[in-house]
Amino acid sequence: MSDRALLSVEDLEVSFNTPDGVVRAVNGVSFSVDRGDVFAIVGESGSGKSVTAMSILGLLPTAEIKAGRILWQGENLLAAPDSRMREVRGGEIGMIFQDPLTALNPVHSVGRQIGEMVRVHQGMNKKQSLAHAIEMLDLVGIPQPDRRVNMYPHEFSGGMRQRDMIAMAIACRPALLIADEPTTALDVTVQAQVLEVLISIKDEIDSAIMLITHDLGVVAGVANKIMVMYAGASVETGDVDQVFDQSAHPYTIGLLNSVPSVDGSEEELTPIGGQPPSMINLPTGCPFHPRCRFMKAGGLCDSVNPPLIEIGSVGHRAACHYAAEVATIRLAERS
Amino acid sequence: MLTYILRRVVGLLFTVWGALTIVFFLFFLLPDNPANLIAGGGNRPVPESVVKNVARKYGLDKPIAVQYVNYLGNVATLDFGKSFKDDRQVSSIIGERAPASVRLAIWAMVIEASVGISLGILSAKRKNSFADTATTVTASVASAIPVFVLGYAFQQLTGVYAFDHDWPSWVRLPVQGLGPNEWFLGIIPSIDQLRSLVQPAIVLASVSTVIVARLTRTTMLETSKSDYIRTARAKGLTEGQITRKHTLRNAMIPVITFLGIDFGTLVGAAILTETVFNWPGLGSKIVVAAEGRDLPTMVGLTTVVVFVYGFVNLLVDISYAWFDPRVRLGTKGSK
Amino acid sequence: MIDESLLELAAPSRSFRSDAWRRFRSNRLALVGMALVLLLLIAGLIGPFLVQDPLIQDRLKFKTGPDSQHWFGTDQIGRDVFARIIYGIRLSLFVGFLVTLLESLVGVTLGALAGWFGKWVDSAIMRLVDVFLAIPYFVLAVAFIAVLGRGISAVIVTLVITSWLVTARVVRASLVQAKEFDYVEAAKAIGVPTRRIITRHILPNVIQPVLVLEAIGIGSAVLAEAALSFLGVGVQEPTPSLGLMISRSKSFFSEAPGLLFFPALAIVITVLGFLLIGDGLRDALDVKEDV
Repeated sequence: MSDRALLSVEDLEVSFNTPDGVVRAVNGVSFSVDRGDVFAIVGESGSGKSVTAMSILGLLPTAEIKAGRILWQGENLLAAPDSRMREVRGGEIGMIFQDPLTALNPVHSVGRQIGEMVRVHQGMNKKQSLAHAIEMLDLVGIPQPDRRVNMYPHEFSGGMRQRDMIAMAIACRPALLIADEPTTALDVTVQAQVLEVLISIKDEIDSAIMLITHDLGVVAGVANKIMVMYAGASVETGDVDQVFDQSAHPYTIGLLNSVPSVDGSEEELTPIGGQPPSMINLPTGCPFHPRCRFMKAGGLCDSVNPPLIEIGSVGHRAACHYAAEVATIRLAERS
Repeated sequence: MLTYILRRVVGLLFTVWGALTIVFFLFFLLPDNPANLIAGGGNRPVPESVVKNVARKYGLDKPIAVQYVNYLGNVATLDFGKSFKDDRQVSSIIGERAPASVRLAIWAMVIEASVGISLGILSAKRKNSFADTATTVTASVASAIPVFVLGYAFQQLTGVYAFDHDWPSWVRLPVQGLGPNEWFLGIIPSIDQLRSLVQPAIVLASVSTVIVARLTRTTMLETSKSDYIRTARAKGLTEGQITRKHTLRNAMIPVITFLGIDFGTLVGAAILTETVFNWPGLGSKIVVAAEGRDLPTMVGLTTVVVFVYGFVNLLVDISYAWFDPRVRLGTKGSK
Repeated sequence: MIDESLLELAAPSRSFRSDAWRRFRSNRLALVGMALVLLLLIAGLIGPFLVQDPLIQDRLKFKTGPDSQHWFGTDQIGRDVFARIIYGIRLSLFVGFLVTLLESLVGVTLGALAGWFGKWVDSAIMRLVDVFLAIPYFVLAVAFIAVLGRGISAVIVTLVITSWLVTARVVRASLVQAKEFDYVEAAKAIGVPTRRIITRHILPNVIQPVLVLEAIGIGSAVLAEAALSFLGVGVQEPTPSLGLMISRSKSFFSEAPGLLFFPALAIVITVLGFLLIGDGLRDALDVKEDV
């Protein structure tokens, strides 16, 4: 592993036992995140993106990790004891969640919650941790941090609250920050501000960001690498430019076509027909084939599950038997 | 915080005033001849002249409105007249017997809160274990056992059975009475005093302890599903730290509220407990007064109870604000 | 066009009732509760025709233990304990049902008025309730007894007055909540007549918590009567009351523990039975649990 590589997930499989059957939430996902990356994981609800993220920190006590490795700076976290995981959580990998109002404890001041990070991981005392909390609040752009540090979550506006959560997550200067839908609950104008904060923090402490989102606009704005997930599997990965401009998977193309463009240059939206698959009874072969407009009847689509194979440029992979054709058709449609 | 307290106090005063009006209605308007009752004529005939004297003395021959004003005035000066039974000032009877009731009530609440909450936390931790189911079952059965039956059972056990079967002397407890009335700082019993206090206190506490335990269990389980608990885990805290610093603080809020409401139940149960154990407090006195239809004493005791209950609820409201900053600061929200 | 039949999907319908009944039947504890209450009803309704006179004193036998003639023995003045228990159960059930019936009439009416009309009606009624509730339940009961005197009618009136408050509160709260439900708005929007909205959509939601409350309330009324009689201010001698029997038994415990034990057991079974039914109803009627 190069010294810029931080996280490497290999063939991760996570499932849940429910009364209705076994839900295979993540089926063989692999990716890696380097220092300085903003790595976006994109997919619909139920695609397995949140489960992937939370499995990294072991936050799903009811989940069964069936296979795979999660290598954090060379160490397999899935084999790590609880005490080591606790060190990693917050100390080396920080995480922020979708709704800051419910994700922050309502009865503790934000200063106390931020300070808790350094008290637990670095043994600071109360006074030191408070000073550090003020520093963190300043770093995320909260005005008058010395006054705000004693305020409670509900006293902040949505965007400010999310910054509080960011301040808390980076308090120990983690090398990786996982952001699970950080802007979904916010107004569009505030979204941009929060994203800006995330990027500036990343540059400031030279860390990486793993961004879970369903919003392609956000991805286009800040991410450099992307992994598209569908039905618990990654269907296309690569640099954002590659994946957006030279999309080679039908699902990715469908997603891009479903997004209205702000300047109104699209004639009509073409949604992806059909329903997301049942995670208990996945379709045979490629999980996307029932909804795929490129599906070849009589081909491999309904019998063999396509592996991720490299297409065109280095690092760009797609899980489609006919990826090259699809990519070509796509380029033709767009020109 | 101050406005919150002031609003609560005003609300309390209004409610107390309303309750006192009900008391007035009950004791002065409802009986067709209050003077007769006050003179002692509830259970036996009383000479006409005596009744007339009483009517004049208590102003019962005046118009209702005047009586009402007089009543409120008397309440303010704590003058409830004389009990015809003891021929003593009701206020001095109250003053004499109140400490015993207060001490019993406080200790019962201490037991109820500490045992109940601890059991609840334990039940929540070991959800669905034997201990947990046992507590739930005991809760149901215990609430069906009348408190006076429990009191009797205790008395028989420690007062009769223990003696007959030569149990160690520390188990052979006095079954009646106050005991030596020895208290440190007004509230802490001497060892001898403890021997008289322990049974009535436990019996009185038993009414609600298991309910408190069940409620605590529920709130602990509910709270632990909150988003901010997941955040705390993502920060790398140990389970113990999470329970102590995050779950508990939030889970206690509904429990505290309940303890306040439950004080009313406690007062009712105290009437029965004091009677069974011959504890010379306000509860046992109210029974005697009701039996003898001693109106002045009833009015005095009921009024005192209304004030105390109202005060306790005020304390609960205030402590509620201390626990939950959203209440304290108002959910004014965004800045 | 929105078809009103679509609203049937959101509101409780006839099949909901049978669904709830099925759930209730499968709840073992609830069935135990029903069995207990059934047992008590048989004892209370039919028992008095089958047992001896509870008032007759057998002057040859005081405080004797159970034997062939007196299944639970005799009490301190020679009366048959078993008969007294049966009559005591009948009294408890009578008081329990009557009080609950009357207080729910008062409570549901006032609570419904408050919840439905809102504004000053709501304010006035709820202030009244709050003010009454400022006096602890049992203290209020004892106070009423002091004024009204002893005996069973006084007990019933007293318990009705102290119990309607919580019912009113619960009814008002569910009504206010039900009014706000989205499907009620939807029904209004497509012009469903008010009467139908009430009977089909709102009423079922209100009845559920009230039913649970009243079921458990029967047990509470039984306990309260027992407590008042125990204190001597409720039912008077020689009428058999379980609470009264317990208070009289105190001095004779070592000789005749059954005098305390049997009435106590009867009370516990009664309260427990209704408690279990109430809990069972709560679980069976809670629509949200079924997701």
